[in-house]
Amino acid sequence: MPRVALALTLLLSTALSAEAQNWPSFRGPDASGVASAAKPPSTWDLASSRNVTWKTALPGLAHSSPIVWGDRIYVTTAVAVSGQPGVKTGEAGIASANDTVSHTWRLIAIDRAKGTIVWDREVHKGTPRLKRHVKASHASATPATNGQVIVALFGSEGLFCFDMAGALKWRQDLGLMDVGLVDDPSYQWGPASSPTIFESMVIVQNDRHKDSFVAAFDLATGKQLWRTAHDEYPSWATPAVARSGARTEIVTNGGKFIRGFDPKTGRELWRLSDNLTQVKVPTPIVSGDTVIVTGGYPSGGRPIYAIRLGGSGELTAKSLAWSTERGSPYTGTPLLYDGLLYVCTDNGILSAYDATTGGRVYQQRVGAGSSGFSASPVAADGRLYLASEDGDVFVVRAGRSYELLATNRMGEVTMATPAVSGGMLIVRTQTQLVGIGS
Amino acid sequence: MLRRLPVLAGIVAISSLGLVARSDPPKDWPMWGGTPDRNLVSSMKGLPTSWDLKSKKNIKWVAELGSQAYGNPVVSNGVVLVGTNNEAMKDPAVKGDKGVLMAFRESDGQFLWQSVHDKLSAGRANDWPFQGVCSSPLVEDGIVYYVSNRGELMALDIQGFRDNGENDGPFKEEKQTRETDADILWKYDFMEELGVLQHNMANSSPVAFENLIYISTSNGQDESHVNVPSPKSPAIIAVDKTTGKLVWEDASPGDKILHGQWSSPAVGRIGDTVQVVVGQGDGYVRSYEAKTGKKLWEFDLNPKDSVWPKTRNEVISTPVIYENLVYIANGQDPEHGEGVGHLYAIDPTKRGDITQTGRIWHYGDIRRSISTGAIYNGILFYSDFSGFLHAVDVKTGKPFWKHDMFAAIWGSPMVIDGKVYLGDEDGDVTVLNADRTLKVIDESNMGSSVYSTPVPANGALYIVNRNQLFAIAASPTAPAAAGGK
Repeated sequence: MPRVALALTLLLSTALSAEAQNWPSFRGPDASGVASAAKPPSTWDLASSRNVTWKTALPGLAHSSPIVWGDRIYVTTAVAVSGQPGVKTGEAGIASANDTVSHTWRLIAIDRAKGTIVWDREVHKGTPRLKRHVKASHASATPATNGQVIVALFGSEGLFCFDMAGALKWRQDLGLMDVGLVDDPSYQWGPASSPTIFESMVIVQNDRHKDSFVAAFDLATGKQLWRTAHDEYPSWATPAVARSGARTEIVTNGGKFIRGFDPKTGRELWRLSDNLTQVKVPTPIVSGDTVIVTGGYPSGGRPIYAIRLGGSGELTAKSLAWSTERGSPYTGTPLLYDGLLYVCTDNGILSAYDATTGGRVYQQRVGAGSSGFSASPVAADGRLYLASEDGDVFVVRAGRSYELLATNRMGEVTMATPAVSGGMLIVRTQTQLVGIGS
Repeated sequence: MLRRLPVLAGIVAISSLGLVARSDPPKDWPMWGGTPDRNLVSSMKGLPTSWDLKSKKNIKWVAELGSQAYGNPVVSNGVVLVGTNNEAMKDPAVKGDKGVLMAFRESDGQFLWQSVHDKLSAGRANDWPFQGVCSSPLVEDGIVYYVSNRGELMALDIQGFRDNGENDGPFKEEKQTRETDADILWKYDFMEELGVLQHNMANSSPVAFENLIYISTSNGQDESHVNVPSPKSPAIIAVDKTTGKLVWEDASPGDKILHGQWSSPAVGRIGDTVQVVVGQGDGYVRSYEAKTGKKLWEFDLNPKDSVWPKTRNEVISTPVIYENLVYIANGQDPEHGEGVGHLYAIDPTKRGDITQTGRIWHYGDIRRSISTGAIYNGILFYSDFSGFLHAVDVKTGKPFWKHDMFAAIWGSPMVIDGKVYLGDEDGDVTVLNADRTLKVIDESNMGSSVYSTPVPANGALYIVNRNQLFAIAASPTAPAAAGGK
C-alpha cells in the first residue's frame, strides 16, 4: 500500500474514532442523540459483568447526562453534606422537595477506559437557593464541551466554565432559575435546561416564572454577548442549533411560543404560537430543513410540530411541514434516526413517524409496567436504546417495524439520558456510572 | 314549579333496583351509571358508531364548556347537565375561577342556566384550581343533586327560574334569579357541618334510594400527604332528600386514608337487603344497609403485602352491582401515574371483613384503574389508566381479550346496543363489539382529551371532551360524500 494512502487511512480512522468517541453535550453530537459510528453492545449483565467494562460510584443526586471528550467522561452532581436526598419516579405530582442542608455542586472527570475518577472539583457550596420537584435533582442540566472548555449550568447557583483540567475560567450568575407550576409561582421545581455551545459562545435558556430570557456568553471570557428578554412560561427545554442554508438559528421550545433567534445578536427571527400546551421539556430536533418541536402539558393533546426553518415573524400553519395534534412526550426528547422520528412517551408508548411526512409508521408499548421514561432515547449501530426510570434499558432495532432486541436491567432508578461513545454505552443510574462495552 | 310525583318516582326507583324486570330501560340518563347499580349498559338502538367533528357528520350539536370538564353528563327532563369551570364566562359578570354546573337544552344544546360556586380559599388542598365541578348529578323528580367543589351536597330545580321565576325550596338566598341562574332548593355543607376536609376536590356523584341521597365525602389527607386532619369526619353520608338533613354517616377509614376518597356509591338490592356500596380511602370497599347506615361488610382491594404508593392503591372506581355480586377495581390519582391494579368480583351476602370469604374471583392483569365496569352478555368490560380495555368472564374473571388504546383512560367503557364505547386521553372514542372476541368497529376523535364516559339518552350519545359537550346522533342527511374519516 502506498505510504500516502496508509497515512490517509490512519488519519481518517483516527478522526473517525475520535468523532465516534465524543459525546459533547445533552444528546451528544449536534444534540442529535445519535452516535453515527459507535458500536455499543446490545446486551449486558451487571451481575456477571458481561459486557460491563466498569462501574463507578457517583456521589449526590443528579439527572444530568454524562458527556465524553477524548478519553474523559465528565459528569456533574449536587451532593448534600448530610443525608441522601430521594427522588420519586413515575407521575410524581406537583410537590417540591425542600433540601435545607448545604450542598456541594461538583464537576467530575472520569477515565473513559477504566472508569476511575481522575479529578473531582467542588464548584460551589451552599444551601440550594430554590427547592426542586420531588422527581428532580439540583444538577439536572447536562454540561457541554467543545474540547477546549466545559460549561456547566447549576441552575440558580450559576453558569460555570472550566478548562479541560477542571480549572474554573469564569462564572456567571443567571439569577434565580425559578421554574415550577405554570399558574402558581409558589411552586419551585428546579430547572433542567442545558447550556448549548455554538461556535465561540454558550447559549442558555432561562424561561422561569417571571423575567424569562435567552442569553449568550463568550466562552473565553464569560462576557454576556446578548440577552433577549421575553414573556414565557417556565420551561425545561434545551436550546437547539439549527442550520438552514446560510442561516443558523437558535431554536427554543417555550410554553407560549416556539422561537428562532439569530445566534449572533439574539434577535428573535420568528415565533410560532403554541396555545395548546404549556409546560415544555423536550429539546427541538433538527431534521433537514425543519425543526421538530414536541412536548407540553396537559397530556391529552401534546402536538408535534415540524417547522420549516428560515421563517420570519409570526409563523402560521403554512410554516409547518407537518404536525400532529397529539403524541408528544412530556419529558424525553424524541430521536431522529435514518429518516424516522422515534417518540417515546413518558409511559413507554413508542411511536415511529416518517420524519418527512409525519405519517405514523408504528406504535408499540415498550416495557409495559415500567414506572416511566424520563431519559431521552439514543441510537447507534442500527439500534435504539431507551432507559426507563426503573432502570431497564430496552434495545429496539431501528426501522419501520418494531423489534425489541433486548432488555437490560441496571438495577436502580435511571433518569439521565445515556451517552454513547465508540464501543461504549455510558449509563448514569441513581448512584453510579456504568461503562457498558466489551 | 316542581312537579312532585312521589308515587311515580318510587316506581322508577324500585324498577331500577331490579324488583321489576327492566324490559324497557329509561331513555333519560339521570345519573352517573344510568341506574343506581351503576352498570354502564344500555339497550338503546340506533346510535352512530362513528362521527366526524370537521364534517359535522352525526354531530347534532356542540356546546362550549369551561376550559376543563371532568364530570360525566347526565340527561333528564329535556336538560343535559355537566360540571366544568368558569372559563366559558357564560355570565360575563361572573369573573375568575369557579366551579360551575351547566344546564343545556337537550334538543339543541341551548345554554339554559348555571350554578356557580366560588373556589375555597384553601386552594389546591381542598379545591384544585380550574377543575370546576367534578360530580355527575343525579336527577330525580325534577331535582338535581350534585356535590359542589366547596364540599356541599346541592339540590336544585332542574327548571331553574324558567318556571315563571318561582324560587322553589326553602333556600331563598340566591343572589340572582334570572333565567340563566340556578334555583337552589337546599344545600348541605358537609365541610361546615361535619368537618370534612376533602383532598384536592369533592367529586362524588350522588345516588339515591327512596328518601335518602348517598355521597362519598372525599375526606382525605392534607397537603402534607401524611396527615389526615379530620379522621373522624365521615367517608360516606346519607342525607334526607326532602329536608337536606343528615340521616347517617360512617367514618370507617379513619386516619388510614391513603390519600383522598373519590369513589362514588352504588345502590342495589341483594337478597332482601338494599345495600350502599362504595370504595374508600383506605383501599377498602364497604357496604352499608341503605336505610340505617349499618355497616354490612368490608373488603380490602389490596394484597396484604402491598405498600402505598408503589403497590397499594386507593379506590376511585365506582362499584357495579350485578346479579347479587359487586365488581370493582382499585387504582390511584392520575397524578400518580401507572402501576399494578386489581379487579375483583365480591359476594356481598357475606358479613364482616369478607376479604377472604367474599372473594369470588380476582383478576390481576389489570393496571391501576379509575374506571367503572360494564357488564353485558356475561362479559365484564373494565378499562385501566394505562390504556387497556379488558374483557373478562363475569363468572370466572378469566380474560377473553385485552385491547390497547395507547392512551390513558380516565372514563369508563359504556355498552350500548351490544357495542362498547370508550374514550381516552388522546381524544379517541373507540367502538368495539361487546363480545367474546375482540373486534374494533370504529374510532372517532373528539379534538381533545376525553376524560368522560360516553352516555346515551333518548337516541343521542353525549360525550364531553376537555372543554366541549357533544350531542351525537345518526343524521339521515349526513353528507356522506363530503364525510369520510
